[in-house]
Amino acid sequence: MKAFWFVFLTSLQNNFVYRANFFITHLRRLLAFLTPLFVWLSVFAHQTTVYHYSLNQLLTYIFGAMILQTLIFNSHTYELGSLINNGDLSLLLLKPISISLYFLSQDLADKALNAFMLLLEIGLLLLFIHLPFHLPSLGLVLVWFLPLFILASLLYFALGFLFGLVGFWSRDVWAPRFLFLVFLEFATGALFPLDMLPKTWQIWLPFTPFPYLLFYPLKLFLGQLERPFFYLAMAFFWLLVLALLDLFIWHRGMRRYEAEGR
Amino acid sequence: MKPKAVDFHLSQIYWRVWWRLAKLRFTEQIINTRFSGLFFIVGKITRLLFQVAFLYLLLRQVKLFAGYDFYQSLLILFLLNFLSSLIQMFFRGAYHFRFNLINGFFDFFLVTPLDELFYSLLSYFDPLDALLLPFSLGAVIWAWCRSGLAFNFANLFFFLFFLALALAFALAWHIVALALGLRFFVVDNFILLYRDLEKMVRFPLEIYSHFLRWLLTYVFSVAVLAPLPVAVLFGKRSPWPLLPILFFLAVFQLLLAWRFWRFSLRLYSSASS
Amino acid sequence: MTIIQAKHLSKVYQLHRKQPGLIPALKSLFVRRYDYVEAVQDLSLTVHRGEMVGFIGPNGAGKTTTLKMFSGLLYPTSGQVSVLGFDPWERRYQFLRQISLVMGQKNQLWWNLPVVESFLLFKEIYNLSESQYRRSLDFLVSTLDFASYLSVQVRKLSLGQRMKAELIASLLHQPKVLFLDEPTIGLDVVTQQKIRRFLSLYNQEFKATVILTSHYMEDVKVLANRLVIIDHGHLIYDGRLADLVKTHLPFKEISLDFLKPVRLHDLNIFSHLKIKEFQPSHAVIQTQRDQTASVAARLLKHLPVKDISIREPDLSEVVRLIFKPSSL
Repeated sequence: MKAFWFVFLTSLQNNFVYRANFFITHLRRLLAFLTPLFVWLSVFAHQTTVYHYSLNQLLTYIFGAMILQTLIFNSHTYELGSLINNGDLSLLLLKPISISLYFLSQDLADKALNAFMLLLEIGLLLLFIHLPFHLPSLGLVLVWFLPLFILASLLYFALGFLFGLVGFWSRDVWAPRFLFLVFLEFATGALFPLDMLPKTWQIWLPFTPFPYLLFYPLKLFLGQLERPFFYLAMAFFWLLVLALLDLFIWHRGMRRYEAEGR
Repeated sequence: MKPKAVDFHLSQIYWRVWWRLAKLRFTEQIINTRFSGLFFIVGKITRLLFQVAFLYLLLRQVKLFAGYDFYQSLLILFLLNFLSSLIQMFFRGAYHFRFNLINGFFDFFLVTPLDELFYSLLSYFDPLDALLLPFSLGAVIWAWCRSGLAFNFANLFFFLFFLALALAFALAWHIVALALGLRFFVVDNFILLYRDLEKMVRFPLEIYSHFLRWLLTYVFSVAVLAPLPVAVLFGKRSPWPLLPILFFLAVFQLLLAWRFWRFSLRLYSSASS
Repeated sequence: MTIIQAKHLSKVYQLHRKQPGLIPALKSLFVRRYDYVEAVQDLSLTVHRGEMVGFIGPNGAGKTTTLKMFSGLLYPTSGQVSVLGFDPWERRYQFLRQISLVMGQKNQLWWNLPVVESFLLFKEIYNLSESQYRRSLDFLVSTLDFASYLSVQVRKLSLGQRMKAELIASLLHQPKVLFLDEPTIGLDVVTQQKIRRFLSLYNQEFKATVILTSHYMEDVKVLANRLVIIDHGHLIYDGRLADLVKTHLPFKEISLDFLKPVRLHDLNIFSHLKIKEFQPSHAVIQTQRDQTASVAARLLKHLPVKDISIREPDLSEVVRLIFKPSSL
């Protein structure tokens, strides 16, 4: 527990160390939000609805997507690949804390910080731009959204971990992560609501893990998801599948790692 | 301070060294077969397909996207893709810079006779990247034709002029990124900021507010990569006085970047000291 | 001919003071506190052609910083330095073409490729003609006995071989000034000797000026005919090695091996001398320089000596004496 706390605090501190870094990261977040905003504003310039969405609904969606992305879409698991390759993994294994816990505690620190900064940013933004959005009922949030949100975060973690494991077999860890990021951008609903896709494509959506990272939690929060239990169960199922995959590949990878005597 | 206009003899040396470095990098890749190259190619193609799909999705609902039809929008996307690849291909060194600073390799760049900026930025030209480039260019040409643009002298002139501008602005930005790296040891975020700005200009500039448009044209200047040239080519934007202004801006930014780089070098403390 | 001229050189580093704790970290976002480290203070030095100068001093003394200012890597905070008539900081092609920097355990060769590929790259960088390149390479490779390793990948070489390759790469263009920063660090004794011998040979053959920094006394003893001691950024000694020993250690050591075991009691008549070591079969006695001969004669007369040798005190003793508060 102490180890967890120490890692949490250290990670929080590391985030402040380079000021420039700090400010740029937030600038980038702001920019990432602006692009979809203006794209959709432009599309709605001459129409009132686009794929059954009104401008207000879509803006709410985009706004929500940005918030969820900030909270869910970052993890220290992307360091896993390079840790493996430069041998520092051995140092980590010697510590009395498991690898997953190590990353998880770091992630939690990041998410806490991000949540805090997000509240500030949203507050600031709302002073200048009036964005229409409604808050769902508390019951909905607690019973359905929060579990799905937590599952989504863990799912992201498990996926990130999976891509990090490539480091056991390849010196280059950036390329697979690049592919991962591409899917994150388009297949999770971050850029546009996935129910704008042709009906034939939408059938396949629940059978991929990506929509569970952002799209379904967001729709749930907006009160637009029917049969939330189904999605909760599916998210849990995907988490199980990926966690097992992670475990399996981890053991395979560790065997290889130790064999190479690092 | 090395003079900007190097004499012919020296420039020959630079050219020969650059070519040899490229060959060495290529040999290196052959010797250590990198399958990750495949991942990259697949990733890039997938990303492009997704982006095309997104544009298609949009333009199914609206006839014009900020005044541009489907093929015009595609041209902007493909042009950005092509130029982005070109820039990454030449300036790949920026991604290795932090590593070189930390392990002290940068000191060797300083001590060898050719300019350290040359090494830091340009010595990582990867001929494997060059393989994809013809296809990106092909996509541009295809969208050019489908959008009904003519292949006349004026258009080609604009295209090449903007290409040169784009490279100039990108160079200035990368130099500043490296200079910041010298002082703060963080380069990556600044480069990633550049890539984010690039992402913003894969759409017509007209979608943004006036302030943002101004910012993306005259301050960060990424708009010269794609939306501005297409706007000029389709007559939506007049080349005068835009082009001369951008030209002088590019020169100014390059000079500023260079001075900042030289200044940062003075504060350089070197890894092992 | 003056090759290096340094006048009142100093270099001050700015270090961001990092304090532990969350609140200070938050504060550091807005206000940064800096500590100033004076790595080099008011250093003046002149080096002539063909000299081999050894910089020694404890860690962090400023030797590497000085070297880097000479080679143009670092910008002096104040003072002037001129090398081969150039301002090193400007790093002109003509200047860099005539110098070389070798850093121990740091490699500028291409890791994944055969050594010779890196050499060819250097040939281009230094604009050497084919004949210049061949002549240089042949000389270096044969002197360092490196021929069989030319087509081996750099990462497959041992540390010693890599150092040799590094030296070859830095000498291909026949620099007039050679800067070496801890060149033998981490190498095994045999390789260290080979490298020292090579550097000595190179200096004699090409009259190249060599400046080296080192921790190892052997390096300095064998290679440097001039010693510069730097401590806490100050130059505290600049002169010949032999002179340093004479002024700071005006004594010699007499080492004795005995025919038969000797008791400490037997040495009573020599109690006014310092006995450095004593064993029944062996003893080391320290004596003033000018009394060496007479003391030795007396020792031979009074003790059953099998073998006697007279030697200079170890250089590290000298340095230890100089650096009394801070140790090497």
